[in-house]
Amino acid sequence: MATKHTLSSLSAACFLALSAPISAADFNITVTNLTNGSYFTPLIVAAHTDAADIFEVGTAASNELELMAECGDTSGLNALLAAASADIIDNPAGGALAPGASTTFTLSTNANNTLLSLGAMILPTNDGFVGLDAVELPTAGGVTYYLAGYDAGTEINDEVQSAGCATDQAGFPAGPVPNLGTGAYGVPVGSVGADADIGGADGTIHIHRNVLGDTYATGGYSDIDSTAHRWLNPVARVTITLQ
Amino acid sequence: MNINKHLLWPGMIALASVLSACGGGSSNNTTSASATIDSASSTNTGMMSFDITVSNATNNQPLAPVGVALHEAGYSAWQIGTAASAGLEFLAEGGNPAMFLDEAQAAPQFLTQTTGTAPIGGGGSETLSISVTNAVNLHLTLAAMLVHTNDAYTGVTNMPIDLTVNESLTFYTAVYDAGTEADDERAVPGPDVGGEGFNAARNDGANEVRRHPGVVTRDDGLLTSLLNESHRFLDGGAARVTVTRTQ
Repeated sequence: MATKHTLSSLSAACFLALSAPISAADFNITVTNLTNGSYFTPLIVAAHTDAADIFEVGTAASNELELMAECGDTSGLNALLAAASADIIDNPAGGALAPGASTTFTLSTNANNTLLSLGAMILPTNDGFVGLDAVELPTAGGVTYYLAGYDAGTEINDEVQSAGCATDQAGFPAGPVPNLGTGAYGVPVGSVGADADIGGADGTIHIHRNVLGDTYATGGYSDIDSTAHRWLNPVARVTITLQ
Repeated sequence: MNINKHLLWPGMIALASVLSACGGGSSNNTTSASATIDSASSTNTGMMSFDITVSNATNNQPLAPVGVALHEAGYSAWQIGTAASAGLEFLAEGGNPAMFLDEAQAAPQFLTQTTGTAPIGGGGSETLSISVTNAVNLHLTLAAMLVHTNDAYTGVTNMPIDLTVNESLTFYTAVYDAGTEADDERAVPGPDVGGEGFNAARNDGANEVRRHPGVVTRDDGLLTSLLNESHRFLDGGAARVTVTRTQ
Protein backbone atom coordinates (compact mmCIF):
# COMPACT_ATOMS: atom_id res chain seq x y z
CA MET A 1 0.00 0.00 0.00
CA ALA A 2 1.29 3.40 -0.89
CA THR A 3 1.15 6.30 1.45
CA LYS A 4 0.86 10.01 1.06
CA HIS A 5 1.80 12.67 3.49
CA THR A 6 -0.11 15.73 4.14
CA LEU A 7 0.89 18.72 6.12
CA SER A 8 -0.75 21.57 7.88
CA SER A 9 -0.39 25.14 6.80
CA LEU A 10 2.34 25.51 9.40
CA SER A 11 4.70 23.42 7.44
CA ALA A 12 6.63 23.38 4.26
CA ALA A 13 8.23 20.44 2.61
CA CYS A 14 10.49 19.89 -0.28
CA PHE A 15 11.72 16.82 -1.99
CA LEU A 16 14.00 17.18 -4.95
CA ALA A 17 14.24 14.93 -7.96
CA LEU A 18 13.19 11.59 -6.60
CA SER A 19 14.30 9.78 -9.70
CA ALA A 20 17.43 8.12 -8.41
CA PRO A 21 17.12 4.39 -7.88
CA ILE A 22 17.12 3.26 -4.31
CA SER A 23 20.46 1.76 -3.36
CA ALA A 24 22.88 1.54 -0.50
CA ALA A 25 23.65 5.03 0.69
CA ASP A 26 25.33 7.13 3.36
CA PHE A 27 23.36 9.80 5.16
CA ASN A 28 24.58 12.64 7.32
CA ILE A 29 22.11 13.01 10.14
CA THR A 30 21.93 15.73 12.78
CA VAL A 31 19.60 15.48 15.77
CA THR A 32 19.03 18.59 17.88
CA ASN A 33 17.33 18.72 21.26
CA LEU A 34 15.10 21.79 20.99
CA THR A 35 13.77 21.76 24.53
CA ASN A 36 14.50 24.22 27.29
CA GLY A 37 15.37 21.79 30.04
CA SER A 38 14.72 18.22 28.98
CA TYR A 39 17.41 15.64 28.24
CA PHE A 40 17.28 12.87 25.66
CA THR A 41 18.73 9.58 26.83
CA PRO A 42 21.05 7.82 24.35
CA LEU A 43 19.38 7.80 20.95
CA ILE A 44 18.75 4.77 18.82
CA VAL A 45 18.60 5.51 15.11
CA ALA A 46 17.91 2.94 12.42
CA ALA A 47 17.25 2.55 8.74
CA HIS A 48 14.94 -0.38 8.18
CA THR A 49 12.25 -1.97 6.05
CA ASP A 50 8.55 -2.23 6.69
CA ALA A 51 9.34 -5.34 8.73
CA ALA A 52 10.37 -3.16 11.68
CA ASP A 53 8.21 -0.69 13.57
CA ILE A 54 9.39 0.83 16.83
CA PHE A 55 6.14 2.63 17.67
CA GLU A 56 2.71 3.56 16.38
CA VAL A 57 0.41 6.20 17.86
CA GLY A 58 -2.85 4.67 19.04
CA THR A 59 -1.40 1.24 19.69
CA ALA A 60 0.16 -0.29 22.79
CA ALA A 61 3.92 0.06 23.20
CA SER A 62 6.12 -2.98 22.80
CA ASN A 63 8.11 -4.11 25.82
CA GLU A 64 11.20 -2.89 23.97
CA LEU A 65 9.78 0.60 23.54
CA GLU A 66 8.60 0.63 27.15
CA LEU A 67 12.15 -0.12 28.30
CA MET A 68 13.44 2.85 26.30
CA ALA A 69 10.64 5.22 27.33
CA GLU A 70 10.77 4.41 31.04
CA CYS A 71 14.47 3.76 31.58
CA GLY A 72 16.32 5.10 28.54
CA ASP A 73 17.53 1.59 27.74
CA THR A 74 17.67 0.96 23.97
CA SER A 75 18.95 -2.64 24.14
CA GLY A 76 15.52 -4.12 23.47
CA LEU A 77 14.86 -1.94 20.45
CA ASN A 78 18.37 -2.62 19.20
CA ALA A 79 17.70 -6.36 19.26
CA LEU A 80 14.32 -5.91 17.62
CA LEU A 81 15.82 -3.80 14.84
CA ALA A 82 18.83 -6.06 14.40
CA ALA A 83 16.50 -9.01 13.94
CA ALA A 84 14.89 -7.09 11.10
CA SER A 85 18.29 -6.49 9.46
CA ALA A 86 18.19 -2.78 10.16
CA ASP A 87 21.20 -0.49 9.91
CA ILE A 88 21.56 0.78 13.47
CA ILE A 89 23.35 3.66 15.14
CA ASP A 90 23.10 3.28 18.90
CA ASN A 91 24.05 6.18 21.16
CA PRO A 92 25.56 8.56 18.58
CA ALA A 93 25.98 11.35 21.13
CA GLY A 94 27.99 9.15 23.50
CA GLY A 95 25.47 9.66 26.27
CA ALA A 96 22.52 11.92 26.84
CA LEU A 97 21.72 14.80 24.51
CA ALA A 98 21.39 17.92 26.65
CA PRO A 99 18.89 20.71 26.03
CA GLY A 100 20.04 22.73 23.04
CA ALA A 101 22.71 20.20 22.06
CA SER A 102 23.12 18.48 18.70
CA THR A 103 24.74 15.29 17.54
CA THR A 104 25.84 14.60 13.98
CA PHE A 105 26.68 11.19 12.60
CA THR A 106 26.74 9.13 9.43
CA LEU A 107 24.33 6.28 8.83
CA SER A 108 25.24 3.80 6.09
CA THR A 109 22.25 1.93 4.80
CA ASN A 110 21.65 -1.21 2.81
CA ALA A 111 19.51 -0.96 -0.28
CA ASN A 112 16.31 -2.28 1.25
CA ASN A 113 16.45 -0.15 4.39
CA THR A 114 14.69 2.94 3.08
CA LEU A 115 12.80 3.97 6.22
CA LEU A 116 14.27 5.88 9.15
CA SER A 117 13.18 5.66 12.77
CA LEU A 118 14.70 7.02 15.95
CA GLY A 119 13.84 7.22 19.60
CA ALA A 120 15.05 8.35 23.00
CA MET A 121 13.50 8.81 26.42
CA ILE A 122 12.81 12.37 27.48
CA LEU A 123 14.08 13.11 30.99
CA PRO A 124 12.58 14.06 33.35
CA THR A 125 9.42 12.17 32.46
CA ASN A 126 7.95 8.86 33.56
CA ASP A 127 7.57 7.38 30.09
CA GLY A 128 7.92 10.21 27.62
CA PHE A 129 9.97 9.82 24.48
CA VAL A 130 10.95 11.62 21.34
CA GLY A 131 10.40 9.60 18.23
CA LEU A 132 10.48 9.48 14.48
CA ASP A 133 8.31 6.74 13.03
CA ALA A 134 9.48 5.23 9.76
CA VAL A 135 9.84 8.20 7.44
CA GLU A 136 11.27 7.63 4.01
CA LEU A 137 14.93 8.47 3.60
CA PRO A 138 15.57 11.01 0.86
CA THR A 139 16.81 9.71 -2.46
CA ALA A 140 18.38 13.06 -3.26
CA GLY A 141 19.21 16.21 -1.34
CA GLY A 142 17.94 16.37 2.19
CA VAL A 143 14.99 16.90 4.45
CA THR A 144 14.34 18.16 7.95
CA TYR A 145 11.78 16.77 10.37
CA TYR A 146 10.48 18.33 13.56
CA LEU A 147 9.44 15.78 16.15
CA ALA A 148 6.78 15.70 18.82
CA GLY A 149 7.13 14.27 22.30
CA TYR A 150 5.12 11.10 22.88
CA ASP A 151 3.92 9.22 25.92
CA ALA A 152 4.41 5.46 25.77
CA GLY A 153 1.24 4.89 27.75
CA THR A 154 2.96 2.34 29.95
CA GLU A 155 3.27 4.20 33.26
CA ILE A 156 1.30 6.72 35.30
CA ASN A 157 2.94 10.13 35.16
CA ASP A 158 3.45 10.51 38.89
CA GLU A 159 6.61 12.62 38.42
CA VAL A 160 8.34 11.14 41.44
CA GLN A 161 12.08 10.56 41.22
CA SER A 162 13.03 6.95 41.84
CA ALA A 163 16.26 5.20 42.69
CA GLY A 164 17.29 3.10 39.73
CA CYS A 165 14.84 2.09 37.06
CA ALA A 166 12.86 -0.88 35.91
CA THR A 167 9.79 -1.21 33.78
CA ASP A 168 6.64 -1.58 35.82
CA GLN A 169 8.31 0.41 38.57
CA ALA A 170 6.74 3.77 39.39
CA GLY A 171 8.75 6.97 39.16
CA PHE A 172 11.50 8.16 36.85
CA PRO A 173 15.30 7.98 36.98
CA ALA A 174 17.13 11.28 37.47
CA GLY A 175 19.75 10.52 34.86
CA PRO A 176 21.79 13.61 34.02
CA VAL A 177 19.09 16.12 34.95
CA PRO A 178 20.34 18.66 37.51
CA ASN A 179 18.37 20.33 40.27
CA LEU A 180 15.44 17.95 40.47
CA GLY A 181 13.21 18.10 43.48
CA THR A 182 12.94 15.36 46.07
CA GLY A 183 10.27 13.97 48.29
CA ALA A 184 7.28 14.65 46.06
CA TYR A 185 4.14 12.76 46.95
CA GLY A 186 3.18 12.35 43.31
CA VAL A 187 0.85 14.01 40.85
CA PRO A 188 -2.64 12.97 41.90
CA VAL A 189 -4.26 10.53 39.55
CA GLY A 190 -7.45 12.13 38.40
CA SER A 191 -8.59 10.27 35.34
CA VAL A 192 -6.06 8.05 33.73
CA GLY A 193 -6.87 8.18 30.01
CA ALA A 194 -4.36 6.59 27.69
CA ASP A 195 -1.57 6.79 30.26
CA ALA A 196 -2.06 3.34 31.75
CA ASP A 197 -4.50 1.47 33.88
CA ILE A 198 -4.13 1.73 37.61
CA GLY A 199 -4.37 -2.04 37.67
CA GLY A 200 -1.22 -2.30 35.60
CA ALA A 201 -2.41 -2.85 32.03
CA ASP A 202 -0.84 -0.48 29.58
CA GLY A 203 -2.59 2.25 27.65
CA THR A 204 -1.59 3.33 24.17
CA ILE A 205 1.03 5.61 22.69
CA HIS A 206 -0.17 9.19 22.38
CA ILE A 207 1.17 12.71 22.11
CA HIS A 208 2.58 13.67 25.49
CA ARG A 209 0.54 16.25 27.36
CA ASN A 210 3.68 17.75 28.97
CA VAL A 211 4.96 17.36 32.48
CA LEU A 212 3.11 19.21 35.21
CA GLY A 213 5.90 19.90 37.67
CA ASP A 214 5.72 22.22 40.63
CA THR A 215 7.90 24.89 42.22
CA TYR A 216 8.80 23.06 45.43
CA ALA A 217 12.34 21.71 45.78
CA THR A 218 11.11 19.27 48.38
CA GLY A 219 7.67 17.78 48.64
CA GLY A 220 4.79 19.00 46.53
CA TYR A 221 3.15 17.11 43.70
CA SER A 222 6.22 16.63 41.58
CA ASP A 223 9.99 16.33 41.61
CA ILE A 224 9.99 18.08 38.24
CA ASP A 225 10.42 21.86 38.10
CA SER A 226 7.47 23.44 36.29
CA THR A 227 9.59 26.50 35.47
CA ALA A 228 12.42 24.53 33.89
CA HIS A 229 11.29 21.18 32.53
CA ARG A 230 8.17 21.83 30.51
CA TRP A 231 8.27 21.83 26.75
CA LEU A 232 6.17 22.69 23.75
CA ASN A 233 6.26 20.72 20.52
CA PRO A 234 8.41 20.28 18.55
CA VAL A 235 11.01 18.84 20.91
CA ALA A 236 13.61 17.83 18.33
CA ARG A 237 14.86 18.59 14.86
CA VAL A 238 16.32 15.93 12.59
CA THR A 239 18.15 16.88 9.43
CA ILE A 240 18.94 14.10 6.95
CA THR A 241 21.23 14.70 3.99
CA LEU A 242 22.20 12.14 1.38
CA GLN A 243 25.95 12.07 0.92
CA MET B 1 1.94 -5.35 8.58
CA ASN B 2 1.14 -1.72 8.60
CA ILE B 3 2.85 0.02 5.75
CA ASN B 4 1.14 3.29 6.30
CA LYS B 5 4.10 5.13 7.78
CA HIS B 6 5.58 8.55 7.58
CA LEU B 7 3.37 9.94 10.26
CA LEU B 8 3.89 13.52 11.05
CA TRP B 9 2.52 15.93 13.52
CA PRO B 10 1.40 19.22 11.97
CA GLY B 11 4.44 21.23 11.09
CA MET B 12 6.84 18.36 11.44
CA ILE B 13 8.52 18.51 8.05
CA ALA B 14 10.47 21.52 6.96
CA LEU B 15 12.70 22.33 4.10
CA ALA B 16 16.27 21.41 4.77
CA SER B 17 18.49 24.41 4.75
CA VAL B 18 20.84 22.65 2.40
CA LEU B 19 18.26 22.75 -0.34
CA SER B 20 18.24 25.73 -2.57
CA ALA B 21 14.79 25.55 -4.04
CA CYS B 22 11.44 24.05 -3.30
CA GLY B 23 10.29 23.03 -6.72
CA GLY B 24 6.96 21.56 -7.58
CA GLY B 25 8.73 18.32 -7.17
CA SER B 26 7.84 15.08 -8.74
CA SER B 27 6.65 12.61 -6.21
CA ASN B 28 6.78 8.87 -6.31
CA ASN B 29 3.77 8.80 -4.02
CA THR B 30 6.01 9.13 -1.06
CA THR B 31 6.12 12.36 0.75
CA SER B 32 5.61 15.50 -1.23
CA ALA B 33 3.16 17.77 0.49
CA SER B 34 2.75 20.00 -2.49
CA ALA B 35 1.92 17.05 -4.67
CA THR B 36 -0.70 15.89 -2.21
CA ILE B 37 -2.33 19.22 -1.76
CA ASP B 38 -2.20 20.46 -5.30
CA SER B 39 -3.35 17.46 -7.19
CA ALA B 40 -6.89 16.91 -6.06
CA SER B 41 -8.49 17.09 -9.41
CA SER B 42 -9.43 13.53 -10.12
CA THR B 43 -12.80 12.67 -11.51
CA ASN B 44 -14.26 9.28 -10.93
CA THR B 45 -17.62 8.30 -12.28
CA GLY B 46 -17.64 4.94 -10.53
CA MET B 47 -17.92 4.19 -6.86
CA MET B 48 -15.07 5.06 -4.55
CA SER B 49 -14.91 3.64 -1.02
CA PHE B 50 -12.76 4.78 1.85
CA ASP B 51 -11.89 3.58 5.34
CA ILE B 52 -11.27 6.50 7.66
CA THR B 53 -9.48 5.55 10.88
CA VAL B 54 -9.50 8.16 13.64
CA SER B 55 -7.12 7.56 16.55
CA ASN B 56 -7.36 9.78 19.58
CA ALA B 57 -3.80 11.09 20.08
CA THR B 58 -4.52 12.78 23.40
CA ASN B 59 -4.15 11.29 26.83
CA ASN B 60 -7.57 11.96 28.27
CA GLN B 61 -9.67 14.13 26.01
CA PRO B 62 -12.39 11.87 24.65
CA LEU B 63 -13.36 12.74 21.12
CA ALA B 64 -17.11 13.01 20.72
CA PRO B 65 -18.59 11.02 17.82
CA VAL B 66 -16.80 12.13 14.69
CA GLY B 67 -18.70 13.92 11.93
CA VAL B 68 -17.40 13.19 8.42
CA ALA B 69 -18.49 14.77 5.15
CA LEU B 70 -17.18 14.15 1.64
CA HIS B 71 -17.73 16.99 -0.77
CA GLU B 72 -16.32 18.71 -3.79
CA ALA B 73 -13.86 21.57 -3.51
CA GLY B 74 -14.99 24.85 -2.05
CA TYR B 75 -16.90 23.95 1.10
CA SER B 76 -15.19 25.05 4.32
CA ALA B 77 -16.98 24.30 7.56
CA TRP B 78 -14.98 26.91 9.41
CA GLN B 79 -12.37 29.56 8.91
CA ILE B 80 -9.89 31.00 11.38
CA GLY B 81 -10.93 34.50 12.34
CA THR B 82 -14.59 34.16 11.46
CA ALA B 83 -17.56 33.22 13.63
CA ALA B 84 -18.44 29.54 13.98
CA SER B 85 -21.63 28.33 12.34
CA ALA B 86 -24.45 27.22 14.62
CA GLY B 87 -23.72 23.62 13.70
CA LEU B 88 -20.05 23.96 14.58
CA GLU B 89 -20.98 25.59 17.88
CA PHE B 90 -23.36 22.70 18.61
CA LEU B 91 -20.61 20.20 17.81
CA ALA B 92 -17.89 22.01 19.75
CA GLU B 93 -19.91 22.67 22.91
CA GLY B 94 -22.05 19.56 23.14
CA GLY B 95 -20.32 16.98 20.98
CA ASN B 96 -23.22 16.23 18.63
CA PRO B 97 -22.17 16.42 14.95
CA ALA B 98 -25.71 16.23 13.50
CA MET B 99 -26.30 19.92 12.87
CA PHE B 100 -22.73 20.33 11.64
CA LEU B 101 -23.36 17.65 9.02
CA ASP B 102 -26.77 19.12 8.16
CA GLU B 103 -24.97 22.33 7.25
CA ALA B 104 -22.54 20.41 5.07
CA GLN B 105 -25.43 18.64 3.41
CA ALA B 106 -27.00 21.97 2.54
CA ALA B 107 -23.88 23.03 0.65
CA PRO B 108 -23.91 22.59 -3.14
CA GLN B 109 -20.59 20.73 -2.97
CA PHE B 110 -21.94 18.05 -0.61
CA LEU B 111 -21.64 14.39 -1.61
CA THR B 112 -22.10 12.15 1.43
CA GLN B 113 -21.58 11.92 5.17
CA THR B 114 -21.17 9.56 8.08
CA THR B 115 -20.92 9.75 11.86
CA GLY B 116 -18.90 7.90 14.43
CA THR B 117 -20.83 5.45 16.54
CA ALA B 118 -19.51 6.51 19.95
CA PRO B 119 -16.96 8.75 21.63
CA ILE B 120 -13.32 7.71 21.19
CA GLY B 121 -11.40 7.71 24.46
CA GLY B 122 -7.79 8.80 24.83
CA GLY B 123 -5.63 6.39 22.87
CA GLY B 124 -8.61 4.70 21.26
CA SER B 125 -9.51 4.36 17.59
CA GLU B 126 -12.52 3.96 15.34
CA THR B 127 -12.70 3.14 11.63
CA LEU B 128 -15.55 4.51 9.53
CA SER B 129 -16.34 3.36 6.02
CA ILE B 130 -17.81 5.70 3.45
CA SER B 131 -18.52 5.45 -0.27
CA VAL B 132 -19.28 7.96 -2.95
CA THR B 133 -20.17 7.80 -6.63
CA ASN B 134 -19.63 10.31 -9.40
CA ALA B 135 -17.20 12.30 -7.31
CA VAL B 136 -15.35 15.17 -8.83
CA ASN B 137 -12.47 16.74 -6.97
CA LEU B 138 -13.12 14.92 -3.72
CA HIS B 139 -12.59 16.77 -0.44
CA LEU B 140 -12.93 15.82 3.22
CA THR B 141 -14.37 17.65 6.21
CA LEU B 142 -14.06 15.92 9.58
CA ALA B 143 -14.60 17.24 13.10
CA ALA B 144 -15.05 16.04 16.68
CA MET B 145 -15.35 17.83 20.00
CA LEU B 146 -12.69 17.43 22.66
CA VAL B 147 -15.22 16.49 25.28
CA HIS B 148 -13.49 17.81 28.38
CA THR B 149 -13.37 21.38 27.12
CA ASN B 150 -15.79 24.25 26.77
CA ASP B 151 -15.77 24.50 22.98
CA ALA B 152 -12.65 22.86 21.57
CA TYR B 153 -12.76 20.59 18.57
CA THR B 154 -10.29 18.93 16.24
CA GLY B 155 -10.57 18.26 12.55
CA VAL B 156 -9.92 19.33 8.99
CA THR B 157 -12.10 20.97 6.43
CA ASN B 158 -11.96 21.13 2.64
CA MET B 159 -8.95 18.78 2.53
CA PRO B 160 -8.26 17.27 -0.91
CA ILE B 161 -8.49 13.48 -1.05
CA ASP B 162 -6.83 12.20 -4.20
CA LEU B 163 -6.04 8.54 -3.73
CA THR B 164 -5.83 5.55 -5.98
CA VAL B 165 -7.13 2.20 -4.73
CA ASN B 166 -5.03 0.95 -1.80
CA GLU B 167 -3.34 4.29 -1.32
CA SER B 168 -3.67 5.95 2.03
CA LEU B 169 -3.15 9.37 3.51
CA THR B 170 -2.28 9.99 7.16
CA PHE B 171 -2.32 13.27 9.01
CA TYR B 172 -2.77 14.76 12.45
CA THR B 173 -5.50 17.29 13.12
CA ALA B 174 -5.02 20.51 15.05
CA VAL B 175 -7.20 21.67 17.94
CA TYR B 176 -9.44 24.68 17.40
CA ASP B 177 -11.49 26.80 19.75
CA ALA B 178 -14.92 27.50 18.30
CA GLY B 179 -14.88 30.86 20.02
CA THR B 180 -18.49 30.46 21.11
CA GLU B 181 -18.06 29.91 24.83
CA ALA B 182 -15.72 31.32 27.46
CA ASP B 183 -13.10 28.77 28.48
CA ASP B 184 -14.01 28.70 32.15
CA GLU B 185 -13.38 24.92 32.30
CA ARG B 186 -16.65 24.55 34.20
CA ALA B 187 -19.32 24.49 31.49
CA VAL B 188 -17.72 21.29 30.29
CA PRO B 189 -19.59 18.08 29.47
CA GLY B 190 -18.26 14.57 29.86
CA PRO B 191 -18.70 11.54 32.06
CA ASP B 192 -16.10 12.41 34.68
CA VAL B 193 -16.73 16.14 34.69
CA GLY B 194 -20.44 16.62 34.35
CA GLY B 195 -20.79 20.29 33.50
CA GLU B 196 -22.83 21.93 30.80
CA GLY B 197 -22.91 21.03 27.11
CA PHE B 198 -24.39 23.23 24.42
CA ASN B 199 -25.58 26.71 25.28
CA ALA B 200 -26.68 29.06 22.52
CA ALA B 201 -25.21 32.11 24.24
CA ARG B 202 -21.93 33.26 22.72
CA ASN B 203 -19.88 34.53 25.61
CA ASP B 204 -16.32 33.99 24.44
CA GLY B 205 -15.89 37.64 23.59
CA ALA B 206 -14.11 37.20 20.29
CA ASN B 207 -16.77 34.97 18.68
CA GLU B 208 -14.22 33.73 16.17
CA VAL B 209 -12.74 30.32 15.43
CA ARG B 210 -9.09 30.26 16.46
CA ARG B 211 -6.43 27.72 17.35
CA HIS B 212 -6.95 26.45 20.89
CA PRO B 213 -4.45 27.57 23.55
CA GLY B 214 -4.82 24.41 25.65
CA VAL B 215 -6.55 23.89 28.97
CA VAL B 216 -5.18 25.19 32.28
CA THR B 217 -6.79 22.74 34.78
CA ARG B 218 -6.99 22.95 38.53
CA ASP B 219 -3.69 21.11 38.88
CA ASP B 220 -2.02 24.05 37.14
CA GLY B 221 -3.61 26.73 39.25
CA LEU B 222 -7.11 27.38 37.88
CA LEU B 223 -8.76 26.40 41.12
CA THR B 224 -12.29 26.74 39.75
CA SER B 225 -11.58 24.36 36.88
CA LEU B 226 -13.37 21.02 36.75
CA LEU B 227 -10.45 19.60 34.77
CA ASN B 228 -7.25 18.01 36.04
CA GLU B 229 -3.80 17.65 34.54
CA SER B 230 -4.71 14.46 32.70
CA HIS B 231 -6.93 16.54 30.39
CA ARG B 232 -4.08 18.69 29.07
CA PHE B 233 -2.87 18.44 25.49
CA LEU B 234 -0.03 19.93 23.48
CA ASP B 235 0.28 21.01 19.89
CA GLY B 236 0.98 18.08 17.65
CA GLY B 237 -2.56 16.97 16.91
CA ALA B 238 -5.46 15.58 18.87
CA ALA B 239 -6.37 12.98 16.27
CA ARG B 240 -4.36 10.88 13.89
CA VAL B 241 -6.44 10.23 10.80
CA THR B 242 -5.72 7.68 8.09
CA VAL B 243 -7.83 7.71 4.94
CA THR B 244 -7.43 4.56 2.85
CA ARG B 245 -9.14 4.14 -0.47
CA THR B 246 -10.47 0.59 -0.60
CA GLN B 247 -12.31 0.73 -3.93
